[in-house]
Amino acid sequence: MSDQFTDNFNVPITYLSTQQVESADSSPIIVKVPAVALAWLSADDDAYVRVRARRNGTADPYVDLATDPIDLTPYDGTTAVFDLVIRTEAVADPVVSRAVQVRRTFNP
Amino acid sequence: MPILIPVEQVVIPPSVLFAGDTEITLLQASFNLQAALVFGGATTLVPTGGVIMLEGAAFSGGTSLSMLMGLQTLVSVQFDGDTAMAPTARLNDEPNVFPEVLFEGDASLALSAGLTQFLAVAFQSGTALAASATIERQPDVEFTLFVDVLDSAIVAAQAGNIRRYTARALVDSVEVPVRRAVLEAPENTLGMELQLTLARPLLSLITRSSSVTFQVGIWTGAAYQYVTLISGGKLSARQNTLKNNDGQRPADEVVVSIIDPVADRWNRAPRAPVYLYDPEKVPAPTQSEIAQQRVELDGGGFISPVYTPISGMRLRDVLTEAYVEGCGFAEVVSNIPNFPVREASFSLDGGYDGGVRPLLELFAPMLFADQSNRLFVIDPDSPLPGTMLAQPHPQSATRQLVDSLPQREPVNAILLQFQGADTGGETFTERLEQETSNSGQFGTPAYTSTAVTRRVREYRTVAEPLVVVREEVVDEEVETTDWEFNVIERTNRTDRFDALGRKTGFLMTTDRRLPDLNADGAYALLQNVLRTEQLITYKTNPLDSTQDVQDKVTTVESGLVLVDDGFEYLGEPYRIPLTDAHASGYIDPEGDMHTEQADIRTTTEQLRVRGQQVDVEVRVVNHVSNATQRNSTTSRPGAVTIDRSEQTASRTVLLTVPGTDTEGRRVQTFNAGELPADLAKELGLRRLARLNDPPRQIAVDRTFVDLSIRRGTLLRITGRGEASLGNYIVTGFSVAVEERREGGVVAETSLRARELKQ
Repeated sequence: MSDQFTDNFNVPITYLSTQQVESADSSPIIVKVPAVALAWLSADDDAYVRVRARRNGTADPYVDLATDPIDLTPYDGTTAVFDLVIRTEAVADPVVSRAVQVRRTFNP
Repeated sequence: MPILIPVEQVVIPPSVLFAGDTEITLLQASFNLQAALVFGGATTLVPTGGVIMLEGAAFSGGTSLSMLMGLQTLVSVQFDGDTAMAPTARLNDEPNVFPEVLFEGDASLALSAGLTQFLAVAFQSGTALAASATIERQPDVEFTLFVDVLDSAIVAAQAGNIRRYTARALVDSVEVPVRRAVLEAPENTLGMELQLTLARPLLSLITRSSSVTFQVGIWTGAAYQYVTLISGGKLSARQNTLKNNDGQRPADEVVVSIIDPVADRWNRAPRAPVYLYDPEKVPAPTQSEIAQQRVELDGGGFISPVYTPISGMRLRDVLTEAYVEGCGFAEVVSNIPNFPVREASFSLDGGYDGGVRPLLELFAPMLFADQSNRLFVIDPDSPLPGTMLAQPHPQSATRQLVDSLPQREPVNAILLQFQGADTGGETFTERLEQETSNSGQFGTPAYTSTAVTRRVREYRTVAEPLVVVREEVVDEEVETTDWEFNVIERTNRTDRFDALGRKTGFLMTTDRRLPDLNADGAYALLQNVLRTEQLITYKTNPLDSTQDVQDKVTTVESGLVLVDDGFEYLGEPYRIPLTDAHASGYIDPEGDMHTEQADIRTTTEQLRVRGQQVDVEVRVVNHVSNATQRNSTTSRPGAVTIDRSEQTASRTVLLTVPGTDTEGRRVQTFNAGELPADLAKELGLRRLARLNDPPRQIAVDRTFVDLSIRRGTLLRITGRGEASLGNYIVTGFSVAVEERREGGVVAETSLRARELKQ
C-alpha cells in the first residue's frame, strides 16, 4: 500500500486543477486513501471552496471535510475509497483562484 | 590509549581488543566497523564526519559516543557499562537504526535529530532517552486542489457565440482611453507585460510614478463586468512617435509598456547575502569564512553575510525564505516533494529566485501567482491522469492550432548521479546566469544583441561547505540577433562530467542563418551548420598514483559543407565549410552547388606531465581538404593533476528501459545533485521517458477571449471531430484588445500549452 493518495487507476495524486462556476458541486472524484489508525481525512477550511466526501459505493450523505473530518481508524491497513465533491460558494469577483489541501492527517 | 585519526578511511583489523581505556577521535573519517571489536575499558568515540556503522562490537566499560555527523547503524552491539550516546545528524535524514543492541548499564541517549528505529533493543538498567526530534509525528499525506471559482454572470456571458468585450486602463484610478492593449504572459516567467497604445498621445498621462490597473470587460447582458488582469503596474518603457499623415495631419502615437509588480518582485535580492544551512549537516561558518564573504561599502563599513541555521532544513524552508520573506508573497503552495536541503544561498546579485531555482530546476516547475498573492510552484508532470477535471477546449474555440512534437532523443539508459549517504568529498549546488549584451548602435546594421543563459555548478567540500572551490559551466545557450531582430546564430552547449565530477567534454550545436541553396540563396531559417563534440580523457599521474592527469582532448567539428560540382579541384568537386563559403562570398545560388553533412576538422591535444611543466602537443586535421593544418608541441608551466579522493562525491546508478539491453546502450547522464536516492531515481526515470517521448507543445489562437485561463490551467484540447489531443497545461498566454477604425472592439487570445505526462 503506497503512502499517498491515488485515483481510481491507482496513479498518485499530487494536485488537481479545475474551474467551476460559483455555488455549484463538481462531479464526484474517486480518491483512494491509504488508511491508518488514528488518522483522519480532512481538508482546508476555505471560504469559497468546500471539499465534501463520502465512502465510495454508499448512499451516505456527503460530509464537509473541513468541519467534519472522516475517521480512518475503522479502515486501518486498507485502502479506503472515497467520492470527493468540490462545492464552490458565491464569489463577488469574476474569477477567484483558491488552493485547498486535502490530507490524511493525525491532527485534523 | 588516545587514538587520533585525522583523515581518510578508518581501517581497524577485525578481532581487536582494546583492553584499557580508549579514546578515538575521528576527524572527517568514514568510520565503518564491522568487526568483533572489544573495548574493555572506558571508551570515548568522537567521529566528526562520514558514516558510522558499528557491528559486532562490545563496549564493556563506560562508553561515550558523540557522533556529530553521519549515518548511525548499530547491529549486535553490546554496551555492558554505563553508556552516553549523543549522535546528532545523518545525511539526507536517514534514520538511526539500532537493531539488536543491548544496553546493560545505565544508558543515556540524546538523539538530537532524525528518526530512530529500535529493533530488538534491550535496556536492562536505568535509561535516560532524550530524543529531541527523533520520534516525529508521522507526516500528513496530502494533495492540493486548485479551483478557479467563476462568477456565474461571466460564465453565462462567455457561453454564447456572440460576445462583447472592452478594455480599460486605470491610471491612478482615473480611466485613460486606449486604442490597443496587448497583455503578454510569457512562458518561464512569473509576471506579465502590458503594451498600451494611448488614444490621446500625451506623455503626461502615464509617468514613472503612476499605478496602472488593466481590466478587460465582458458584456453580461446588462453591463460590462471587468476582470482585473494587472493591478499596480508600473511604467517600464515608452515610445513616442511623431508623424504626419499626408504631410499635414498629425498622427502621433504613444505606446507604453507596463510591467506588473509580480514581475518586479521576482527580481528582488536581499540587502545582505543570506546563507541558510542545516547545522546538523553543515558546520557553522568560521569567522574567516564570514570575513571572506563581506562586502565593503563605498562610504565605509561592511555588509556582512547573514548565516541562518535551520535544523532539519527542507525545501519548504528555502521556498518560504526566498519567496515569502524575500520576494513578499503571502504563501508558497507547492506539490514538489519536500526533500532535505543542506544549504542555500541568496546573493546580492543573484537574488532570491536565483538562490532557490537550482533546487527546483530538476523538476522544471510551473510558477504562477493568484490574486491573493500566493505563489504556486507546481511540478506539472505529476498531475491527476485521465480526463476527470481538465477543462474542455473544444474545436469550436479554436481559430488556429499548431500541435508540435519536439525532437526526441532515443536513449535506452540513463546514468543517474546523486549524492548518497556514504559519499564524501565535493558537493555542488547550481545557479543560473542570464546576461544580455548589445554591440553597435541600436537601429543600425552594426547592432547585434547576444543573450546568454548558462547553468553554473559551484563545487564545495564537505569540510568547508560555504566556500566554493571551483566552478563549472554545465550548459550554455547563446542566441545572437541582428539589427532587424533576426536570430542569426544560436549555440547550445552541454558539458559532460564523470562520477568524480571531472569534465569529460561537451557537445555544442550551432545553428546559423545562412543562404539556402534550395531557395535561390535566400536566407533560410536557422540551419544546423556545425556540431562540435569534445572528449577529455584522464590517466593516472605517472609521478603520483593517487592523482589523475588530463591525458587527451579530442574535438571533432562536423557540419554543413558546400560542394561546388561546377568547379573541380584536383579531380574532385571543390568543398568548403558552408560558413566559410558564406563569409568569403563564394555561394552562388545559380551555380551547380549543393550542401552535405560531413566532418570538417579534428583537433587533438595530447598532454604530457613533466614535473612542473606540461608538454602540449596539438594536431589539427582538416577533413574537408584532407590535410593537417597544425602540428605543434609547446611546453607550459603548471600542473594538470586532479586529486581523485577529493572529488569523489556522487553515486552513479544505471537506469534502463526494460527489454532494450540487447540493442546496445545509448546513454545520457542525469545529475540529481543532493536529492535523496528515491527521489533522484524517480526523476531519472522521468528524464529517461522524456528523452524518448518528449511532451507535445501546442499553440492555440482562440476564437474567443477566455478570461478564466491563466498559467497552470489544465485543458483537454480536442481536434478535428472532437478527437482528444490530450491534456495540456497552459504555460503562457496573451490577450489583445483593439479598437477597430469602423467601430467596435476586437479581442483575441492565444495560448501556449504543454502536454501533461506521467
